Amino acid sequence: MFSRLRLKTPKMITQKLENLQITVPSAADDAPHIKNTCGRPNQAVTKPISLNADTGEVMVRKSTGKTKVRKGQSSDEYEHQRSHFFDVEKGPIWTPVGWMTKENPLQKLDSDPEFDISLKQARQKLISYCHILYYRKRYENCAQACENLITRLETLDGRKKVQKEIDELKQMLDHCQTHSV
Amino acid sequence: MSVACPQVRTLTKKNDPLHIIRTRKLTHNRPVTIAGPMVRYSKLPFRQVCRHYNVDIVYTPMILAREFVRNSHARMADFSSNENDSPLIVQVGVNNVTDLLRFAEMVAPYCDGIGINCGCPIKEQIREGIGSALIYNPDLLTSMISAVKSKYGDKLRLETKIRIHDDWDQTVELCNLLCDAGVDWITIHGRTRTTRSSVPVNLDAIKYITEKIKCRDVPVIANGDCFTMKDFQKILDYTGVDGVMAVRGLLDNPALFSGHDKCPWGALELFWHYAMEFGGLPHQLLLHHLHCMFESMQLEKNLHNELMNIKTTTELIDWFDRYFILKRADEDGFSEAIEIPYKNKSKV
Repeated sequence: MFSRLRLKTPKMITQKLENLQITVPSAADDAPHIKNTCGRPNQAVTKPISLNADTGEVMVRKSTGKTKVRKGQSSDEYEHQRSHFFDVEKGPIWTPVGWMTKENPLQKLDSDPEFDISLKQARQKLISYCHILYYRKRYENCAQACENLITRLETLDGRKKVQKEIDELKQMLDHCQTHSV
Repeated sequence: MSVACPQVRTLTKKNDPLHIIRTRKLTHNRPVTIAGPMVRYSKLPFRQVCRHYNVDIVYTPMILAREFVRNSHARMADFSSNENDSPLIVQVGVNNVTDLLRFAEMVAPYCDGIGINCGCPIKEQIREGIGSALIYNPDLLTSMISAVKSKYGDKLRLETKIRIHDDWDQTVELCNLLCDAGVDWITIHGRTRTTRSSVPVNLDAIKYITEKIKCRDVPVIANGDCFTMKDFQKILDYTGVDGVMAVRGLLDNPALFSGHDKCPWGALELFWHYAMEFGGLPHQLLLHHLHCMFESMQLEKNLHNELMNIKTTTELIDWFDRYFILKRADEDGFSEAIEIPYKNKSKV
């Protein structure tokens, strides 16, 4: 309960701050001291105000001239992201030459519950797998992979979102069949 | 609960960017060559192609620290790498110390240095106090540099890529402050925040600033309008800098630092190879790279128009195989051709 309260307070403060008539300084404020600005006062150049150095919360200026608070990140939130990055994601996406064809990612789809086809990144990887087979002129393997993937994508919730991907796979399948003849 | 972080990548003579900048003249008889950051385009496949052609240090595109430390999807979209992707500078867009320190902690095990973007002229970033806004905010910029250098010292290299001010003495003043804060080297793009890229880069400004901060013993890299090795030499001779960073020039011709005045066909074959091997490059991005390289090669106009109308990667592969001899990595002569190998020139 208290943690909820703690979360709400910064939001209230944030809104109050946005409503206050605080002006985020810009480089134009330096103009009196700076010679030769060629008539360009650098008004768009924001100097953010730090609201909380521990969380990185800053106030910046919107295009309308109004202020906008960029929310900070608590230590706990950062710890969570950091451990997810190092322990779950295992750092950045690591792609040495040959990584994609080392194991068939379509098989991984059945064996690894983390590999979720509803995620764009996962679908991109699978389509990239089809592309590399096509590029290497392994048309039979590519056709199999395309067929498999089309079946899965067609039964996916929110199919409309992936229609473009299905269309490209169908086109690739069609071209594979032409090349195989 | 605190987690154990992987260690910062160890810097050796092979991957320490500062060591490379300082020693290239002795070891390679030429100053350092750098592939700078390009929004969207300096992704892993392109970086790998550049490394085949005498590029010593390569940058990632600008990654926004704020998004990277908060969002796993942003991380996946923004940063991929591998063991051959070194020396690598990860460029960051940032407007506060906390985000930068957190960002540094997360990327330091996978790169050889961090570059703070103080040159991006895009309005949306400037309003956030990111990019070239930072050259007008020396207090914030130096506090970010000091924070990173106090924490990591020489274990992690830190660079700033700046633009010039209308008043060059203001840039000199800024550079002196950056040196005081402990920056490892400074890259100067010879245009102001509002100068268009069609206006020639101001080499006089770079020369002026370089001379004024020579006594600080912090290397200066020049950036802007390097399209051939002739430009490279001209920039070096005129400004007295320690090295040159090319950006748009490399996009058209990743082999420019190898002395090729136009993109060799082999570079294009390598790009195809890496783009397919690593995967994940959206079709429009792939197409744009090929378009830029073909512009440098002066591809026949009607073929170029055809290329720009191709909607899918499958069609693109077919198109290449229809008109050109596009060798794959397992074929003899892969990546060696210079001229465009048309299959049937009479059809072109």
